[in-house]
Amino acid sequence: MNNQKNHSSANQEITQSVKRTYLKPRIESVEMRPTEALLGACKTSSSAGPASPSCSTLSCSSLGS
Amino acid sequence: MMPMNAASALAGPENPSSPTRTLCLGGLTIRLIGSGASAPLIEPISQRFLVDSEVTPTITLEVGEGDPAEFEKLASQKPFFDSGGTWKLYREDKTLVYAVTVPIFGDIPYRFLEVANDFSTGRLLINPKAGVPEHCLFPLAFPLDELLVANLLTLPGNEGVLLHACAVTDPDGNAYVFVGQSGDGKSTTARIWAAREGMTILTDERVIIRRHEDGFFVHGTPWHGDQLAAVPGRARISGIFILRKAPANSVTETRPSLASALLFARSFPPLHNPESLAATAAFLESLVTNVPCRELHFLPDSSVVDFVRGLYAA
Repeated sequence: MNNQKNHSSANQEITQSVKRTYLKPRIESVEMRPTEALLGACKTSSSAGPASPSCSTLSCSSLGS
Repeated sequence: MMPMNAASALAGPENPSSPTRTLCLGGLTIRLIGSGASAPLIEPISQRFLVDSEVTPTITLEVGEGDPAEFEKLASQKPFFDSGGTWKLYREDKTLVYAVTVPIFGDIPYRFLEVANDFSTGRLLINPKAGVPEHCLFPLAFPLDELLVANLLTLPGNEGVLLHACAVTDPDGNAYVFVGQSGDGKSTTARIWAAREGMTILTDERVIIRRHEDGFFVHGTPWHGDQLAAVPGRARISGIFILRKAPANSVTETRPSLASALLFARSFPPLHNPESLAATAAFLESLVTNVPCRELHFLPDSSVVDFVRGLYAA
């Protein structure tokens, strides 16, 4: 009985030693830019390449920064 | 760094007289079959990504002029998804149609990409009534090329993502991916690294990351930035860095959950498709679990090159 009690106590100590500090859940916001993510605007499509600069106006509604 | 496909690289692009062109982007092959004897026009930089037609294609597209009535019909329909930019998505029973409209050609789409729901075949058509100048007749030009690849990457078995990033390989065999939205310093980073001997800039604007049998690789794309870097090669990723301009160089360890969220915000997933979003989120979770992903606070000068390479010197 005593052995069982000691064993249980030891387990408890081990559990306590590895227990991590509680961190309250929190929300972190991450900025997403819809115009970029949707491929709605292009800075650099290959259509804006040097061989066909005028074609970029056909596919790009606006230029990125 | 190794060629995308060794056999293809050796064979080179197909016969110029053939009406077929095959592009290899991120290891995915897109076969374009022209109508009659005329081959589809490929933009100059994208021509670097042409491969031999012996390669089994991921998707095959018939390319040519469409029936103007098809374009007019699209314009009269309610889109399934409106990007708010130049393209809209229309959904039919067995196909998806990505239609591009620009003000210079009025309210009627001037080209569209129609693909089967499984993305195995499709049509890429230009509206003959739109009056597109001959030197601009690149059917797969932006945004259809990137939309197609972004979708293909999320299909089962393809395991990949299109990221807003530049990628560099160094002479030691390391490959670094620098991820950032517009203005975060991708072009600056590419310029700084390109000035050092032995560096290869795979691309300075968009990269494709995929999981292959032997790990996670970054692929160059034709979608370049100011530095016009567009190399058709791939390299095993040593580290991913989320760019943050700062007065001094440092790195911040980023929790995987936050890292995958930051990468998601810098990716181009098909936002209209729940399955594709789930596939992208799962892929990014796997990526940041297997590849170091940190925030790089950097001084925009050559000191950042030594700083980053120093992290891998040991």
